Amino acid sequence: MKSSNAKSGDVKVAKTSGLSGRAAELLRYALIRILLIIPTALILVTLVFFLMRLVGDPITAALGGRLSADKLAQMKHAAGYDRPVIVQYFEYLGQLVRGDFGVTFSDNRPVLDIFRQNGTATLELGIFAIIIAALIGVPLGIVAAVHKDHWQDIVLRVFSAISYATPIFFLGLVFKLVFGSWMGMLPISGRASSDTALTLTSAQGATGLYLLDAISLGSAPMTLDVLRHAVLPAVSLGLITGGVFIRLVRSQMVSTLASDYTLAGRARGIREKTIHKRFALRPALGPILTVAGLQIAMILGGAVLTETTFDWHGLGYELAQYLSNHDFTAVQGIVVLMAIIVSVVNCVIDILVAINDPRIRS
Amino acid sequence: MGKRKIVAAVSMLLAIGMGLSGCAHASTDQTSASDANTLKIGTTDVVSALDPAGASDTGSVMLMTQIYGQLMNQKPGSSDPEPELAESGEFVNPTTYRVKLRKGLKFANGNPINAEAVKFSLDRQAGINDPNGPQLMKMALKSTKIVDDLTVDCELNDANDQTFPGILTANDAAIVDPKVFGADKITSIDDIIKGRGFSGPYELVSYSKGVAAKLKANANYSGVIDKVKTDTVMVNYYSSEDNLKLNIQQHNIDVAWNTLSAKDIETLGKDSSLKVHSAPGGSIRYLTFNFNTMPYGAQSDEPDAAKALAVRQAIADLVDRQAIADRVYKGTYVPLYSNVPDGITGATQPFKELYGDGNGGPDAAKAKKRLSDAGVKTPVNLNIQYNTDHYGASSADEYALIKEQLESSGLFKVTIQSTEWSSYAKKYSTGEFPIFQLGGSGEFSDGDDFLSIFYGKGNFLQNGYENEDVYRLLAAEKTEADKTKRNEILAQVQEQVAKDISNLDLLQGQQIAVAGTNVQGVDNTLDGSFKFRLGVLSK
Repeated sequence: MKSSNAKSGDVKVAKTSGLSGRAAELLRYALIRILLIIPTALILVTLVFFLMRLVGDPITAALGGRLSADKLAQMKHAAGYDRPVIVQYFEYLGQLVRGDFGVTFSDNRPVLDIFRQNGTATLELGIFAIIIAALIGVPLGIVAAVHKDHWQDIVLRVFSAISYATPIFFLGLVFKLVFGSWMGMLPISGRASSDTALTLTSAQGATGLYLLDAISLGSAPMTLDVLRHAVLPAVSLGLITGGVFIRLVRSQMVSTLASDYTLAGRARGIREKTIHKRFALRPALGPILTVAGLQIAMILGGAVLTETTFDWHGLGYELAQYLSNHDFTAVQGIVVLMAIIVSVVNCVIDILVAINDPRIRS
Repeated sequence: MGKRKIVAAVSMLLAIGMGLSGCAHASTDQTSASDANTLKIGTTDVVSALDPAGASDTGSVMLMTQIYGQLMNQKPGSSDPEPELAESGEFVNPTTYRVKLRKGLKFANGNPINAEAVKFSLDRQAGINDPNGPQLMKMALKSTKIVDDLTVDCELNDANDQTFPGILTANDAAIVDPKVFGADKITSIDDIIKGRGFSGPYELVSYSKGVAAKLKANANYSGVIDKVKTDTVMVNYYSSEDNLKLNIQQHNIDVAWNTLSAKDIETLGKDSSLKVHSAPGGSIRYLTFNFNTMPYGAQSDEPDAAKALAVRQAIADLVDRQAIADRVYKGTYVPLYSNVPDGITGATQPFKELYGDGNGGPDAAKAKKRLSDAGVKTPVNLNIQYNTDHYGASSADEYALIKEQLESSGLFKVTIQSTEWSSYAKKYSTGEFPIFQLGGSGEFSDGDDFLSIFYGKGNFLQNGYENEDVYRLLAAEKTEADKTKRNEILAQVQEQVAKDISNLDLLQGQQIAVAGTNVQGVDNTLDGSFKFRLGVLSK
């Protein structure tokens, strides 16, 4: 009995030490991954900073053609743009460390305010787009995998290729023409009608997420108005990611459907539906999470075009506006912040994947 | 996933879509009553600030025109200044311009519009000195002094500055409430809305950047617009011409103002439910010569002022402005034959008479003779710079056509090159471009505003052009109180600079608004003041 007790105690100790070892391993992986954000962000900041400086200074860009060269020189001197670029670079890094992303030149807005005010619009569009992508990508990917090499599979593969190969602005334009202009079914621009937008923006405690704000105001017409405005931009952006999801789900499921354990399941007489759901789909969803993380960058990039096409006032829209105004301070700040967000999201996704798959963290 | 589930999911999505569409129509119906009374304006303009000291861009000025009154302003249909909030304005000595206010004027919030408000409004322009703010008041005004509750003396930098009443019509001189606006910093849009310190025909009720601005008639306004025709106006902002076009086509907005492409205007003009309104505008496009680096320029390999002049004049003989306006801009621009655009008091057309066929058309024989008489060897190599990210994508077509026009004579061999704006702005001012495209618009409706900045001492072009006669004439017109005499001097300046050709004026932009056929009053505001006054519009 004693020896038996001793053995069971050993197993317990071994289990405990195994668990803490895995936790330590995960923690180490997470820490390294988090630390890697710093050089990634630094490289991005450096690239953006020097690329912006290559094309000149913000004052000449904004006021050239309106003021004399002397006056421009005075203003550049006052703003410190005539100092060596390397000095400006280290000063900018210092500002970033203090959380100061600068103030836009053209309309005196702190860059962080742009994030607070317009970031929610991009977040809302991103959420809508991911939902659309998942609604399209997962079921159609399953259909393609289940009907591998049949006509359904071929049609869906062509559809997914077209989806992610079509430029967003073109897709947006086609949607606007068909559903907005010709059929008159859906609005072609904005996040809401102007009255709704003004009400939601000025509402007390507004989150900036129009759908949430409209629901919390308890206004059904406003909620519908917001949803209607979201359809075309969300579908335009979501279709692209949806196309990627179709291919990914299909390839993962085709692989799992051909695996030994699926074959064993079939041999035991498990229903085909259960095999699809439990044996094939579940393992296939892991890589989708990774790709979904990578899609954040794609959505942020795509948002510039989608938001401009549909007058959706998010970060992409603001970035395009500031670019056309030659406001380099704003462009630099927005791009750097976007880059940091993408780095952080990718880091979180990597950690989540590592939690799910021990092979990665080892 | 079974086929039935997929069919069910697709059906559900379709049902949601159709439901959204249907419900939305219902919600649209609910708001139709308020829509009928609200005039909706669409624009691609961008508003950078609504504090008169912090912005001089088109989009900001358009909105500020509606919410701030001026001491002097132009009545709809006119470009000449007359008192608005002021009862009178006159020189009491060469450097003092006295403004007397009308009695009983109030801001929208009920605060009095008095001498203190005027002094505060004018002084803060120089005090704040925002780089994006207007520059006119800072250059013209030395100081202000309150004489009594309704009278202010403006001490000017230049004696007898006859442009000052015109400057008082510009956004620089918008009158704001000292209790709402900061004396030494730009006031935020939120604070402006909360404070309701509006002196113009409308007050701004709500605003969301880049989305919309809602305006309501200001009950306390009394000025050049007798009575606003529509109480509530919504200005919708669009990021692209394309969205602006689609929204006016669908009648989601009543008026599309600034900016539609030439092609869109042509398309919309064919829609029987819409009307395209146009009138000469304040924007100009021109070609500038650097007197140092152009062929035969002062710093070229073969400096010869007479030959350089012949080259400039021969180019002026060959350019066919009407063809550029028609073929490239489809009538959204019209030929410009002076630096002062048509519609402004004192504008003449010297380039039309002096060059080409004498009637605005090209004349290759005349160009050939000019070059031959001056001993210029042909073909002359020209290097012309243009820009597309600041002056519009059509600049490429515009300059391709100019190249074609010049080369077809056999007198010139032209290289055209486009440069990105940041480099462009730097390079033209440092003399790197021998011949280059520029453009812009005036800040107030006065001939001097289109001449002094180009041809006065220390002008912003810095292209090596200097002419003492022109300096003398500019000084004379600026201080000439007699309007007829002043216009005569302005004509002399225009003639002289057309002979010298520092700038070859090419095109004048049209003010264009596309409106539903049920909208009235659009033509009343498309005048030489270049102010789009929403108060005269109705439907």
